[in-house]
Amino acid sequence: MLISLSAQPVLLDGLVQAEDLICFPVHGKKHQYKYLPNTGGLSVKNGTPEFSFLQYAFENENSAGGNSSITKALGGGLLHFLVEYYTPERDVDRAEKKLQKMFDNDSIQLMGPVEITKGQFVLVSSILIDGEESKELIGTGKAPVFQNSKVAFSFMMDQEKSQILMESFKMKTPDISIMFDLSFQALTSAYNGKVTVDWNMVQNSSYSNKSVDAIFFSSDTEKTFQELTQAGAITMESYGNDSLGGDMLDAAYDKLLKMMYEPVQPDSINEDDSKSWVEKTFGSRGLAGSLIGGSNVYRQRTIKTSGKTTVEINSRQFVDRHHFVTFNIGDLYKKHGNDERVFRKAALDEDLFKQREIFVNIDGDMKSEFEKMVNSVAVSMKKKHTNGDETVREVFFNTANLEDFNGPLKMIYLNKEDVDKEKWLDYDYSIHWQFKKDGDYQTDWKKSNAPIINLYAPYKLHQIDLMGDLEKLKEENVMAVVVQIEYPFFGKNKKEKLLIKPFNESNELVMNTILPSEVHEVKYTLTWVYKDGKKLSSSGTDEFGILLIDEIPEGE
Amino acid sequence: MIYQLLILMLMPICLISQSIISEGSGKYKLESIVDVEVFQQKGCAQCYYYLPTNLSLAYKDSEPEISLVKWEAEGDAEAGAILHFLIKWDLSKQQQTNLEHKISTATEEKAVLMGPAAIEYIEPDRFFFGEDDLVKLLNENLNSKPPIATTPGAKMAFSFRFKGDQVDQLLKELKEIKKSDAHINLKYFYQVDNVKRDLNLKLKLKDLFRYI
Repeated sequence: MLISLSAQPVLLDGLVQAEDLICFPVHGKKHQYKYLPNTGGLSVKNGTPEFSFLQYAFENENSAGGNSSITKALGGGLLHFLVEYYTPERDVDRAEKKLQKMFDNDSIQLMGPVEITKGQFVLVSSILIDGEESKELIGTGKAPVFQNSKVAFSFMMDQEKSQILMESFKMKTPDISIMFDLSFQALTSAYNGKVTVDWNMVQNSSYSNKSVDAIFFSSDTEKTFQELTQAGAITMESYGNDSLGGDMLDAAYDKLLKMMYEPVQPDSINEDDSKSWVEKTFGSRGLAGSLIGGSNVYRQRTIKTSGKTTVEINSRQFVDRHHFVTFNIGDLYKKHGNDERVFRKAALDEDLFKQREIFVNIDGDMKSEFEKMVNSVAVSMKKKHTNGDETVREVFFNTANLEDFNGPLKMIYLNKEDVDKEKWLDYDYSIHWQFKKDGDYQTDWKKSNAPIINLYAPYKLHQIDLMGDLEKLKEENVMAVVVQIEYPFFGKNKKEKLLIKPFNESNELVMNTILPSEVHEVKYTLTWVYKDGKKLSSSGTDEFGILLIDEIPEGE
Repeated sequence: MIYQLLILMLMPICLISQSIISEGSGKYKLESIVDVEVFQQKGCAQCYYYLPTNLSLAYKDSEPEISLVKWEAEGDAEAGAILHFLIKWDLSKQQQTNLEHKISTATEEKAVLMGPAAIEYIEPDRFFFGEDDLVKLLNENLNSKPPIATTPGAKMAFSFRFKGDQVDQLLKELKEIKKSDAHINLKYFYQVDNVKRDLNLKLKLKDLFRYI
């Protein structure tokens, strides 16, 4: 007899339904019963179910705009819950009283739950369990063998599933049920008897005429036992009041099978036999078919040829039984739909996960400027955060990497406790130009909150027209007019000069110069040189781009 | 007493361990709708076990445990529906009390209803039977096969997902459910006088889906 339980086993034969509990008498203990757990549900802590369903959304930067300004955000759902099976104390009390009444015995006690030998849960949900893989991975699992122990479930799901589940939660019976499959062992009813095999008679039967290699199936062994029984080769006795039947017959059959046959592994059967075996065992559907109603395969054992063998079968035996505790997760939304600890919808706008992107856009004309004047340019950005941290970022262009430039570059900073959203957008930036010939120029730090820094050349073309009557200059014997301009250029003082000769047939009467963007005027000096060597000069400042070369100052 | 192994030896090994006998058995009707058969326990003339019966939709807080959620097609997402329900077999406490009274009245002896007769289930290859298209629809879209309850009150949960055209088909079938002969069938066996007998528990789908 297999005894694997250290606790007192229960007797299967004594099953009693007492109020809401299924109870069994305890073997060897008069008036003691045990019960099967009868209730399953969500675990509850401080009056609140240990359950949460979060639906979350966050911005979809890649949404397909289409014809509507309302587009689909990203997001999904997160479901977490704990479940357990148990037996309410009230049910135990009622069941105990019922047992006492049924058996008219006040000393009957319910001692506790039947010992569960193996537990398994099955999650039943078409929303959460989708596909064979899901069924295997999360649809089933081990459950605790002690009642009141918790099993945790957690599911991450996409938007569609979360929406369907939310709608399902609004129903009285949402699409989540959990079944606890609880295995327990119990003792069968007692029987007392013996089986005797007369080997002399067996030797004379058809059983002994079979080849030692022959394959037998359950139906064959049953037929043989029937023949041997009818021939008197097998006899069975039962003692006392036990009748011959039920468990005792089962046990007798089992003993005979072990004495006279040995099980055969399917892969040890030769090909011809194998085909027959498959068909007999699984039917015409073959191995893919159901195992229900299947058969076992045997070979004859080498047996005695004379004498008798008697086997006692006077015992109880343990059998495995299953008990199910199933529950639907229930009408949670109606009861807790307004409790944000249970159901919550959240637009994820958490500052921690925000970042600011400052794009640096370079003007198309800048490419030509790089060829003419600019060696490189660096754009620096610094952000002073509320928590005291400072983020410094820089992007850099030169002639080489400008060739690959195909869009704005960006500088990023995070939100570091920058609670004031408007202030968070503020930053400082500076641009550092390196010129091919004329040194470098770095702008002061400028404040901005714009998302784009457009990069323009820090200088501008300035044209100065030299206007005047050249005939008049000739009449006054002016041989030449020297035009000199002077202006600041990124830390330097830059000078340019132009010579006009009135007696020449053609003269350049325009000065093209480049001024820093913030410089709007130039200093100039006009010098008239006469045929006799006399020189007269005039100086001033021009902001309009016009110098009159025939307005000769009065001579001394 | 010596017995010979007779035809009983041909029973497949089954380990139902509950001795009920046909002597004193009887059939009763409870509340005009529930047929129940009872058997005496061997060695106890007052003790009766009832044969599992009354396969029905489960209730929780007086509400039937069944739901149907359906949604329309939108954008790339096709229409769909989720059907979920729980069933069980048992006799209510009231029914058990009534049954005891009926047995006592019939036998003119005190009767104690001990509980359900021990049964074992036969693994089903499908749950839904009948000629209607609904049967095929349900068998094909059952998400997972629930374990079969062998104790009273233990619920069996079913969940189905329907997609696209199946939703319209389901709704059409549900509209005509009153004419349907479709049913759930659970197959069990039990032993009386050490002889195996089959037991079929049926639940008509029209009795199930009238709550949707």
